[in-house]
Amino acid sequence: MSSYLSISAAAAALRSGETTSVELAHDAITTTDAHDAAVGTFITRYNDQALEAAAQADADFAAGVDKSPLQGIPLGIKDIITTAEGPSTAQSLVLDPQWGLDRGDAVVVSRLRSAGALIMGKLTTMEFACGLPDFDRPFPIPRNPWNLDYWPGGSSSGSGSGVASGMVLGALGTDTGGSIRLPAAYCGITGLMPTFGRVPKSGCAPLGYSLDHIGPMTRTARDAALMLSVLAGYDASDACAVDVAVPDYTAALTGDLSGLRIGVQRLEEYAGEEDPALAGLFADAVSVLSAAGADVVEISLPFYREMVAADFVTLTAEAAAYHMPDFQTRWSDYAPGTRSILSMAFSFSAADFVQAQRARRVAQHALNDLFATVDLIVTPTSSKVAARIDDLGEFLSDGFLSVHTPYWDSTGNPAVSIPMGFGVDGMPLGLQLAGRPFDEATVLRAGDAFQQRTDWHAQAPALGAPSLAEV
Amino acid sequence: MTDKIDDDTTVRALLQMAGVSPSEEEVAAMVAGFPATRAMIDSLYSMPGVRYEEPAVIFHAKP
Repeated sequence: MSSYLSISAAAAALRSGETTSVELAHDAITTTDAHDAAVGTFITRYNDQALEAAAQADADFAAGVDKSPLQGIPLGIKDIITTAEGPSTAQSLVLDPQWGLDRGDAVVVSRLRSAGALIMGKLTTMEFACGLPDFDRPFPIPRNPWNLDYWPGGSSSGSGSGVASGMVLGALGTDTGGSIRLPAAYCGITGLMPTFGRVPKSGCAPLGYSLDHIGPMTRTARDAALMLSVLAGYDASDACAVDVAVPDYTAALTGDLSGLRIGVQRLEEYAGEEDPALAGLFADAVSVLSAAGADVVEISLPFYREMVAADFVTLTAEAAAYHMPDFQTRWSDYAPGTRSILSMAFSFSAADFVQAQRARRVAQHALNDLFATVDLIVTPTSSKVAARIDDLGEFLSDGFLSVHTPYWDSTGNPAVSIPMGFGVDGMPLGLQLAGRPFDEATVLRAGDAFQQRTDWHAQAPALGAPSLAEV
Repeated sequence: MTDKIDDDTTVRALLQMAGVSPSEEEVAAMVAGFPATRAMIDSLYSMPGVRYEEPAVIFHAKP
């Protein structure tokens, strides 16, 4: 595993001369060589190109050129976001590989590259950021580096496992119903879903046009701030991008939450079953936020069930529109999990879809009223740890009840998941902090303040331990 | 809607209209889940305040 667990630490080491970008790239390659076959993080690796970029980054440092804190840092890209090095698969037999090649770098990848980052390769997902891992397809099965018998979450599976295992220091994920925050929670890392429209999503294979977000997955909130500083900003290529000023995210990381009012809800009434450790860990996490200076109050999220429903209706309907021609002619080329989820769209009418969009607006108004009384809202990311890979069929049928991420996709607010401890079998649990639209700075400020007072984010899995199935 | 025969007929008609051909096992799963799916969608029509709300759709006069 890389000796640097965070982008911030590696960036400091690069500037002090303690390491070089080429060394960081070699560390990332060596760690990946050692563990990728077991963890299933990469679909495609770009070692040669990354080493060339690393040499350029070192040459730039030597010449006094410092493009950004990401200069010389090894990152990974979820394989539904296009890169110039090669095709994007969306982990599907259906997507035309030429699509990504024709596009070249997605806007976000172009921004990372211009900032001097190293693109180490493309990371595993679920088919079109939907579905479930499928043993019958020619793609790696993503596993959780904390225990290889467990799922890392999805759909940004490789982004979660890659950061947790040290194969990359940061990654791009996408979030339509929780696909950044869920693997972040399950893998014990930090994952930020920015406000809808904050980060251009052109160059990303669509799942839900009005729900898709691209965001950073990192060890720490500070690292997420560093990546968001590069990723954020309007681009006309995305019809959903919003032209809002991008603040200095790292300047907001004061470690002090004085003056902030935080609404808290554990959401146990919606969760079905909870991990036995969740209530205690959540109470402890809230106490940490309070100790950092925040005023904490109990709240109730308005229209929780309806916003989960609206996410489901909108996601499946928008995805079905994109996939319909292939559904009609290549049904069996889609993985069963993808077919199972997206075929729900056939139960909806056009009026139902529009009604979901009216419901989203109602909830936005109600949330706006709530955010007039609090600055942040804190919930668990999930009430349970990751499912075992053997139990994913069960997860598909009722496991979603324990997942508290889709609400914020429906409303468009920014939300981050940060590690808050360990549950059953030593698997990670996440704390979710959501804020007002375009106020990622306050979300990250609270996440960073929490991490200044805890060390959950600094813990790393002991890769190399045998799978439970092998014991 | 919740009658098993009606759900089966409805789901098969919807799939036929969509032009997709799932396996019988997949159709059975869709039929089994159909009442819950419809109940979830129907809840969106009874939200307080939704009757006169505008939808959150994106459209600009210029492409």
